[in-house]
Amino acid sequence: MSIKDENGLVDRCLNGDEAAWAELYRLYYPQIRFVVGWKRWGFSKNEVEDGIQEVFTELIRSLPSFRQEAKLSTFVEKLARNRCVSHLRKRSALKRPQEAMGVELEEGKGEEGGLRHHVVSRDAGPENALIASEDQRELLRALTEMPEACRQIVSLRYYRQMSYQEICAVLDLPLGTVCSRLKRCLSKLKSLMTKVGGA
Amino acid sequence: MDNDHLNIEEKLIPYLEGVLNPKERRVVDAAIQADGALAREMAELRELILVLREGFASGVKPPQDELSVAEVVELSSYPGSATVMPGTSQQKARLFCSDGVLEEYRLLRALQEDVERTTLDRENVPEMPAVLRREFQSLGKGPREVTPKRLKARENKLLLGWRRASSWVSRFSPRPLMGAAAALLILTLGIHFSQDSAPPLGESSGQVARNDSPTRHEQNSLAASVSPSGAPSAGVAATEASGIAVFTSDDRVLLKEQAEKLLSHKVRYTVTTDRILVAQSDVDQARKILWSSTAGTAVALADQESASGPGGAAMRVARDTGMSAGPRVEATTSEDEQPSQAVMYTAKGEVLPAPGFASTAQVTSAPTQGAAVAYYPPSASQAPAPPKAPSPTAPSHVVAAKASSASTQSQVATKAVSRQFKGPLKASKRIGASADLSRGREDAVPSAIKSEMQNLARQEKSEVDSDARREKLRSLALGQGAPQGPSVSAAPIPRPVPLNAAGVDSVAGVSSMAAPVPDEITLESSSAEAGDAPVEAHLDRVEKKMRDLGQRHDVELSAEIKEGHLVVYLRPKKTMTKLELDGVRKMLRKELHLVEADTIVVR
Repeated sequence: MSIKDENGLVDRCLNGDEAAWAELYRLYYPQIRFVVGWKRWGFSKNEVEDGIQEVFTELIRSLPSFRQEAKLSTFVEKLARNRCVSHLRKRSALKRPQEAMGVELEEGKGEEGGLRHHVVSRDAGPENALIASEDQRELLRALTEMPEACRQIVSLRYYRQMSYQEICAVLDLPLGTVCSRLKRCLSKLKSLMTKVGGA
Repeated sequence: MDNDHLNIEEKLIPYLEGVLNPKERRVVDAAIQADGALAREMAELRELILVLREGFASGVKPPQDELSVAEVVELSSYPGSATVMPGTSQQKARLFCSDGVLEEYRLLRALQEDVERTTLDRENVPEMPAVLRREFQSLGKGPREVTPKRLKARENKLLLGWRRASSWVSRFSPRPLMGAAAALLILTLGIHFSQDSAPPLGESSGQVARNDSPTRHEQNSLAASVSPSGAPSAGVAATEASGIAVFTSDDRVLLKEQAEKLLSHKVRYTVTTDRILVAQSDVDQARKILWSSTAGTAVALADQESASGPGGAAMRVARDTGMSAGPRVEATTSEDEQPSQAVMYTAKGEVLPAPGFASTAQVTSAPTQGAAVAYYPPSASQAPAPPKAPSPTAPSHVVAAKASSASTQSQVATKAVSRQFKGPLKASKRIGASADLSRGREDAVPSAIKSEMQNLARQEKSEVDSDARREKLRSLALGQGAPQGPSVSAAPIPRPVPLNAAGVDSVAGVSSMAAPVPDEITLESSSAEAGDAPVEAHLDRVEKKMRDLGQRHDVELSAEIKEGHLVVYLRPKKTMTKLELDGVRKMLRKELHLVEADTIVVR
């Protein structure tokens, strides 16, 4: 569909033409269905159906503010992706409180063969469940206290294991600045760890 | 002194990680020996780096920064590499520092690739659910049913409004108000009669006078109905955009991008629905800007396979032959709308001659609607040979984006060319033949076409820059598999020295820190790398590249051809961790354009 036709369709929709809305739905349903129903999201069938509906609802609501500079299909796809990523985050957020409690439940059979749940472990958090040594807890505390810029450059280098060139590209800094900044941030980290350790 | 201190500070961490070159290592060694405090600091930093590495390896995760959903979706709209990714450095840093966000980004990139590869099923569309119908009705834009309840509510609203207005007015004495109203009326009439040249009020003014805000359609017709001369026209804009079209596309986003480029160079332009126009005096500058060597911009596109004309035909060829990973294919027009010349422009920026077509070279006039262009990426070292002189009976419009060399720019001129590919069959049949050949259905292809393809392959050999493209064309024309190149006997390489844990990557020449060496990050899956074209069996070119790469990454490289594929032997000159080696491997794959079947062997 050309941009002219798309603009015409949008105008008709905004003027309340029911047939135009039906056409809009028919035109973009396959695209939205593909994006929301993409298997790698891991959404259930109900989640996909709800997702398609939500994207259309969002499309209907945001159509009046749609600036007709970009293609409508690009706009629709962006809405669909936004919705999928938001839903992924919601799902992760729902999982997180249970994990944060540090309680992991395991199914087991009770005496009469019924299912029972019993506690397996209690830890401070999911990612740090494996942290045993005091040094590592100290490291985590120091990293948390560091300024964001310092933490980022240290993470990029030692956690993400990026090369210096890659870090230069990400931070948009020359190589010398990256190296000297890394050195200063490591010194800062050292002083934080010393402070935490001494406290 | 301060500069020396700064220079030393820059080198300390690379020194600890073992990635400095010997000359700079000696400088730092001398500084450490001369300064006891520096030596102690270095020891502490070394220990800290070990603690960091052990901590992260054992599961410590730094606090994860967040990006908004919209930011992640926006970043993922553009392919790979941090050097070309849009967004601020803050956004990019957060993206890479956060596992969750990075995973979302990777998913979105994979989704993008799947979307590009997939044809949507437009048949099984269910009926619009009632809840959505109610949703758009609730927008209030459509004609609503006037129920008695709504009618009563409206009446009540009017009554309430009247009561409020009258109670407000009754607070004031009427005489001063009447005097002010009379004065205002006299003033308005006086201004009105003094403006003799004001345009007469017509129907369009009636629309403006309405209380409800005009819909977009009304706004457009309003704008269109008022002409500079004051006489309303019949909904057609009185002033039409004029100028020379330097860019044509149906894609508004692309038009906008191109317009922004002109704007950044302060070139005046006019954008219509499908093209960008500039004044005659700005044409050369506009072309230079739009067809710059860094961007390699396509000038006109055929963006739909169903499109009629040469663009659509060339796209179908591209789809059938699998030579294009992107939706853009360009072809020239001829007077009778038969495609005569075409190249295919892949998503990776490669330019491949379309089977059955000769490549184009010359820039002529601005493209007409439906015309297409040849596009040459910045890496093209030379443009193809110019087409032959046109025959007066069959002129065609050939447009090409310029190559990066200045001499090619100077060759830009209006030229009509004849169809280069003089075969017994029409171009449309040649397109079909190409598709058959690519599917291995050689027997379905007439011998005349096959011989024409061979001729084309020979022609393209001298025109096409990339060896990979040449091999593809040859195999397509002759129905062969992967090409066989000359074999290379590998030089004996000693066994590698055991690796240590120090150092992460092979940054050579850290002293030249004023000029950063940009490095690309591939964040997509390995399928992206598999799509790259294989390194041509032209040994001298490959060896030359390997020499440069080897010096840059402190490794020794050699190569040979085995069973039609390239085997690259890599011997590190210094101790390297597995991670460093993986990084070098990745780099080699990219720089040498290795495909999945090519292997890199570490010795």
